[in-house]
Amino acid sequence: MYTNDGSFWNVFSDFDRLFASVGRNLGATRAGTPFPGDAAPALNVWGNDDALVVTSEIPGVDPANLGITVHGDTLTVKGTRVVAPAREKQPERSAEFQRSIQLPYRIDAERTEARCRDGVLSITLQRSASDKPRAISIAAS
Amino acid sequence: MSSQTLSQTKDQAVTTGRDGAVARPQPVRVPAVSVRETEQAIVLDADLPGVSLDQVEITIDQDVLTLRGTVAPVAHDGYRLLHREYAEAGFARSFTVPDGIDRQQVAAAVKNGVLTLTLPKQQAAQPRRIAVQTG
Repeated sequence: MYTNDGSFWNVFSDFDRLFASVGRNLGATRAGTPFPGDAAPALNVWGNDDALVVTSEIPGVDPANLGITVHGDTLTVKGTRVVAPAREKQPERSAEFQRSIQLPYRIDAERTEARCRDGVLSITLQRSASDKPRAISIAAS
Repeated sequence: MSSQTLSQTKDQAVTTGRDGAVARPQPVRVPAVSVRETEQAIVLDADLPGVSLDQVEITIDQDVLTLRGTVAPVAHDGYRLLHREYAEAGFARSFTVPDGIDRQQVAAAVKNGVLTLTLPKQQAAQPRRIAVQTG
């Protein structure tokens, strides 16, 4: 699939690739406290020319604590995972994560749907109508 | 917790069709598990995203506890996979059960893709206060 400027879409921009090579925990787009022992959750992306499905495994995250935002061609997922303490009398620990991903085209935020079940998040995003290629008719002179 | 890796171990989970026929083995991952101890029990929290309660299998054989979770693959018809960071696969992991566990009282619950397994300690293994009688 190609983006509007003709370049092949790769979710890792050069900027991101630099950080990814240094270690997952240092990703510029993966801000926030990582999951205990882990970086922000992994994402899979499925798509065609009109829609995308982004899935992620977020076990232990209460869907009520999820914040999903769409702006232009960027999807951001934020959440909190509560972790039971290692020792009985200690308080619960809370780990927050946030991850932004740049999509191959701009999204119609109104038609975005998200579902979370058994710790698996699935977000369906529709391409913005104004983002689709449009044929221009030539007026007869 | 260690990161999840996809591995095709010799011990692959085998999915069974409704008529009892054995289907293709499903590759499994090793789930991240936290183990903690309370006064009454040993508690395991296993990350099994995509696994619902009826897809969890817990077996204790001799002193080996095995957790298995199967994941129903989600079809994405009409879409191409553009980017993959994790494999949608089932889970399997084994543990050695310590002495002093009351196996009849093992309890399991699943919430948001996390399996919480409670292994109660036998009465004798719990700390007991001895009352001191004044003479």
